[in-house]
Amino acid sequence: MPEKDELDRLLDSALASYADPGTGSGLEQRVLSSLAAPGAQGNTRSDVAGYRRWPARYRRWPAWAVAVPVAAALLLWFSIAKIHHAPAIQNQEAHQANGPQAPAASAPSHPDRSGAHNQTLAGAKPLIDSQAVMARLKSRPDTGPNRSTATEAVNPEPLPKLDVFPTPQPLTPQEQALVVVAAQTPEPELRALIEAEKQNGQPFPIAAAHIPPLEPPDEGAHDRQ
Amino acid sequence: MITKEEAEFTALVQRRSRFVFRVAYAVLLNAHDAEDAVQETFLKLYRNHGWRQAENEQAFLARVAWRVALDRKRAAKAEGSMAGPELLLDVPARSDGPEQALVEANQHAVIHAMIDALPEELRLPLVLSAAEELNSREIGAILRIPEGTVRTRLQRARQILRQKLARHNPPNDACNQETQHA
Repeated sequence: MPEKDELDRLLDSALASYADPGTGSGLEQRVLSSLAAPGAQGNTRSDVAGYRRWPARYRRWPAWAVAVPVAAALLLWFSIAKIHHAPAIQNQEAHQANGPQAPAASAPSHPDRSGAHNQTLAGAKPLIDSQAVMARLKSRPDTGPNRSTATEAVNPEPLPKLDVFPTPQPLTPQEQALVVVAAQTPEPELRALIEAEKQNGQPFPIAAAHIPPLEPPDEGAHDRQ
Repeated sequence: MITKEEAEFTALVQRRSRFVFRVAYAVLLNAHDAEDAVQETFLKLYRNHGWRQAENEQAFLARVAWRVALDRKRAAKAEGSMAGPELLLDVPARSDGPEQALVEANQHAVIHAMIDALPEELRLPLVLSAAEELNSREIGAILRIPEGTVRTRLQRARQILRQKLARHNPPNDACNQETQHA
């Protein structure tokens, strides 16, 4: 097949010259000069050109690669710090809130004794006799120096013991008004009021309901309709 | 003062630049990109001194050039600035006369365009086999494909080119038969 041989010959000759820059193209000199150029050892012209040909989204990736983990780490650190600090802050706030109130709550307990509250409780006997308790505590034999030092080490400044437990609170305005009413109202009216209160607590009588039984409808009513 | 290593590398560049260019061009289909790939290939070789330990210099150079060209092609494709194929006009002239040389140059340009139109998996083995007459085993080692696959691809590439060329240049015998029938 001569035409096939001709085609093969043509193909071979074309393939031999395919992508051949030729001997006089100066490719070797250009490659050598680019390699000998200053900076070719580190950042080459082709490297720089290749980097510049990158689209902007690829050129920015190192910044994103650093920024995203840093942001994630900061977020994580803030969340952890918030979780750890939240109980401490709550405890601190609770301590600050309770600290000033405790003396304030205990302080007015003593002046109240001279107020209207003491007027009604003057004749009542206190639940705990603080003087007797203190006398008993003083008369208890000491177990030795070791025990006291150990106790001081654990609780160096014991809280001041209160005379009455639970700590008496100041009267509310409603309680104060009730005390005033009780002091000013005569005794018969008070008894009548107490009886009325007792009757209010009793169950309210409700009359029994009478519901007439249902009568079956007449059998001939449907026929008439 | 040129050291012995630099002298050897210069000789390597002068000896294999065109071959590396052809490998790169077979992938990139653009002379400027191929020349950049050639420079990058030799620069990599110069940096890591890998060319000194290569057993088969041609296969090693072809492998490195192919990888560099593939990387550049991927980068250009991602950027969207992939240049189209261009025809090399530096076609060697024959001594059969200016008219015959012009005809052959035209035919070569047509065949080169047909080679450019081949799929890359067919084009590269064809170029490697034609450029430095590498055998199928060496081409398979370069492209990391079995030797039988290289032979199949070479046959397939030549078959496609023959068919296209036959359609482009109908044989004279067929023309004569058609004339006789008429």
